Amino acid sequence: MKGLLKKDHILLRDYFFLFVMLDITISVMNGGMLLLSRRDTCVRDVGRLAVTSYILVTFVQSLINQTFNDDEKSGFLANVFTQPVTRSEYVKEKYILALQLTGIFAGIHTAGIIIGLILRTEPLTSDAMLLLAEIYILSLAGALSLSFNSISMFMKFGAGKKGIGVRVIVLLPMVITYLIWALNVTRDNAEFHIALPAIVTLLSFALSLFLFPMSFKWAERREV
Amino acid sequence: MIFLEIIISSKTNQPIYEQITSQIKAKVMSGELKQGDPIPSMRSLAKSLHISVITVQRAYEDLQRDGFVETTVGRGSFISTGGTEFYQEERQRQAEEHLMQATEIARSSGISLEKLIELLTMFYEENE
Amino acid sequence: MEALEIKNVTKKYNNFTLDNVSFSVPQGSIMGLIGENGAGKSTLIKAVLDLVNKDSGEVDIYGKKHDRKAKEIREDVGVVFDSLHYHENLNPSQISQISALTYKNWDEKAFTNYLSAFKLNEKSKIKTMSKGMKMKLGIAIALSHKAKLLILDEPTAGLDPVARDELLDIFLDFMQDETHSILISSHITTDLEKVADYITFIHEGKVLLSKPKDELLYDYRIVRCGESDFVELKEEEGAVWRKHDYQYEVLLPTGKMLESKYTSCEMERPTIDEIMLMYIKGERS
Repeated sequence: MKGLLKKDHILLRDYFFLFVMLDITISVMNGGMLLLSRRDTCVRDVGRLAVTSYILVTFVQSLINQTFNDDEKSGFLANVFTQPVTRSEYVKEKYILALQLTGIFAGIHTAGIIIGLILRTEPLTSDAMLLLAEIYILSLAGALSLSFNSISMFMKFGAGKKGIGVRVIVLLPMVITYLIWALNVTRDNAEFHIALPAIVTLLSFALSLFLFPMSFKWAERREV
Repeated sequence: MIFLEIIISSKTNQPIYEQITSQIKAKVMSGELKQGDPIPSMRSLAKSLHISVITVQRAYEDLQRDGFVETTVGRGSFISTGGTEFYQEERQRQAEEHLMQATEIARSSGISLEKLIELLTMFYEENE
Repeated sequence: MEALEIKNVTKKYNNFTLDNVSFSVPQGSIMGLIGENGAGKSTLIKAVLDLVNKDSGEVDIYGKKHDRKAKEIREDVGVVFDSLHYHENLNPSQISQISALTYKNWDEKAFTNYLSAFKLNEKSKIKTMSKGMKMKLGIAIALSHKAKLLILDEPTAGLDPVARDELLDIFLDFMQDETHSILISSHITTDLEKVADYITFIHEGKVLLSKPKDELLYDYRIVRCGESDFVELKEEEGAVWRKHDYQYEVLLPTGKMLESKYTSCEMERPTIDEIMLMYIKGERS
């Protein structure tokens, strides 16, 4: 399985750096925004931060999808299963990769936020801090659930047309919710409702946990 | 390692294992290969001749059965002249048969014994 | 203990079934697998490697049952497919790094030696390689983790005669160890005629025959003859025949022994191709 991680690390290198650059940019922007936010508008500002940074949630899933597509296109699956690697290990590696990538992107983003907060001359309101924490947790849950669900869908349906269709269906609720949320929050003085995104994200996360053991079963039955 | 020539053809009707056995037997009979001379292992001979191992294995088994080769585990294969006596006897018997036929022909057509000996001597010396 | 034992393997698809296939590859031998396209050779190899789900049957490698969980066994198995299934942006050096983490016995030095013997640059991406080079890379990988059993699916297809000859020598070199074995599926029957010890012929998903190669090449005979001889010949054991416009063609498994019986007929040793054609297009009783 270490070999599989190494392979994915090598293959993702270029895309990964691209995403890291984006992440750093967004992180700096958000950090800057937090730094400069005024107490009376800080709740709204935190909301806007969420909108710009929620895009990060899709980074991990993109990269994971990339590895699956590459694996199938190159016929690598035919190869890997003739090696001393079990189906379980193949799936496990993808989950571990998802965790690694989430950790790195989250880490970079957190750094920006923390620096922004530390450098503030006066602290944020407690409402704003609460909102920030909620968004943070949702983002993590969102990133993990999207990538985990992707992994499960790939195991069941492969990388072909059917697979794409199913992945879009799984992704859709999150995307739609996010768009509604984004539109909502950019209107000036809009009430910031976290309820809907929270529900959708948590449902998505629950789904990913439910599908987790099934993804291993599907991997076992996968023919090449 | 003795320089050993074994020349095989995949195009003749004689199976390759037979080609190997007859060539080695001929070399032993002529003295080119002597008692105790080492011969290549089955696998390396197969590799050198670019043929399958089982073919060579069969040749070695036949040679061993006929007393021309001895294989010791761990030490390899060596020429044995144990089979040469039997082989020699076989060949002598074949020669005898031919000579008997020649004698019959000579007797029934009035060719003298001296003429026969003269012819035999001429043939024997001609082919050296 | 055989190197590879295939026992009653069956795999059903919609319009094709691999039906109750059984044969063995003894240790220290090379088994050639022949058959038309679509006869089931690749499916069989996939079933042996457990890439597809068998409907029934078992595959044992060096005495151990090979299934999904048995990953240890795959340390000893080297596989070469007809195309190199690695991402095209990888280069041999990276593959070596990955393989070192995948196989317990990855031999970096052996791999580098093969690369230079094959004149492959370890920093060239796979997508820059020709088909022949990719094949050689595949073989280099298969031979660099101390495998005992090689499974090769059309490894010499698309290679020029010189490259094929070099590869056959490499396989014979691999066979110097008497526990090593090779299962090789190939259309290039002349290669098999040279180096195979046994031949298994798969036709329409079933094993038609599995015999020592020398028996096929030296005991079998193929005869071209007229009606009168044909009538007798077709009664011989295992005879397979084809009727042509002006003659009959008969394949005789016991041909060598029958040479003295049919002195008026021209009996020839068949090639593996001729044997295949006879079984595929001919009739049997």
